Amino acid sequence: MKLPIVESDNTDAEFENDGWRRQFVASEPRLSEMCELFNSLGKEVMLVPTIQEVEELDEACKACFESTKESTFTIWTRTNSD
Amino acid sequence: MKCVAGLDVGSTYTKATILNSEGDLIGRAMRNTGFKLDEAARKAFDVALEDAGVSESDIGYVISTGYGRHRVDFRDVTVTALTAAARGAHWFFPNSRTVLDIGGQTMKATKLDDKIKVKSFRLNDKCAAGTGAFLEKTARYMDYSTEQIGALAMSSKKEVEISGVCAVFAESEVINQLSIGSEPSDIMQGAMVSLVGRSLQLMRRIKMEPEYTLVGGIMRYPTMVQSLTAELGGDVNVPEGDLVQFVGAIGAATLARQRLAKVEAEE
Repeated sequence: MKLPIVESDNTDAEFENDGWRRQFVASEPRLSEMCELFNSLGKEVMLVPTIQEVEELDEACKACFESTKESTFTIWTRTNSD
Repeated sequence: MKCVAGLDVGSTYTKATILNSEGDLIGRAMRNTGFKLDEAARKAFDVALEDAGVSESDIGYVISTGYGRHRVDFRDVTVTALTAAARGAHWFFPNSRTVLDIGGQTMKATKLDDKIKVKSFRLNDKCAAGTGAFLEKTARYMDYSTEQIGALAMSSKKEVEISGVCAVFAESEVINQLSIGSEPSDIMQGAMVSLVGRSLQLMRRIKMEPEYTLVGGIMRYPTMVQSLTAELGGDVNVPEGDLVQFVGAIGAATLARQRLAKVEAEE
C-alpha cells in the first residue's frame, strides 16, 4: 500500500477549512495499519510530515522527535463524501 | 471443525491462544517478544498447543495480529490490533461499546457498533508516553520488577502527582520524587493515576459509550482498574486475571474460527 504522504506548508486551520480532521501522530509499523483502518471506515487519509509540529514541542520532547521526524507523520482524515 | 489459533505479537509480549471446535479457549501462552518476533510467535504458539493438548495438525486456521503480525510465517491471514481487540472484547463481554487497550507502547480507544465493527478509534498521540513502558521504567528505576508493579501500587497510602509521563524522562521524575521523600508505592500509584487521566482524554475524543471494556497488560494492575472504574462511573468490564492480556489473541482466534467455517462451507 502506497502511503498518501503530502508535503505541504498549510496550517492546521487551512487543512480544517478543506474538511480535514487531525487524528494523531504515528510512525511505522502502526502508520500503515492506521491508514488501512481509516480507509476501511470510508475516510480519505492524508499524511503530513511532523516537522511543523516538532517545532511546537517543548525542549524535552523536541530532542526525542528530532531523531525520528523523518519517519513520523500526522494523520489527517476526511470522509469521502466531503 | 478443527481448532483455530490467534496470535498477538505485541511490542512487549507475544500471546498465543487456541480455541476448540466449540469456540472455547483451551490453550494459551505468552512470551517476551524481544527482537526476534518470528521466534517469539513460534514459541508462544508451541506452548499454547501444549497447553491445549493438541498438535499443529489439529489447527485449521491461524490469524495473527499486533505490531509484529506480518512476522508470523505460519499464519493464514492478519488482522489489525483494533479489530482483534474489538472481537476479543465482544467474546468476553458482548455488550462492549468502547474498548480501552493499554499495552507496552500504545494506548488505544475504540468505539464499536452493535455489529462489533470499529466505528471510530484513537491512539496515543506522538509517542509512547503514558503507556506500559512508562510504568515499567518507573518501577525499574526504583529497583522493582514489572511483576511487582501491581502490589507496589496497592500499598500506596496517597499517590504523588507525576508531572510527566515520558518513559525517557521517567528516571529524573523518579529521582525528584525520591529526593523529596516520596515513597516508591506512592510514586508508582501516582504514575498510574497520570495514565488514567490520559486514558480518559483519549476515550472522550471518540465520544465513549458504555459498556466500557478495559484490556491490555496495564489492566492487570488492580489500582489502575479501580481508578478507571471510579472515573467512568460504572458499566466497566475487565477480563479476569491474566486473560486481560490475551484479548487481542482471542479476538484473532474468533475471527479465525469464522474464516475456517467459511472455508469449510465452500469445500
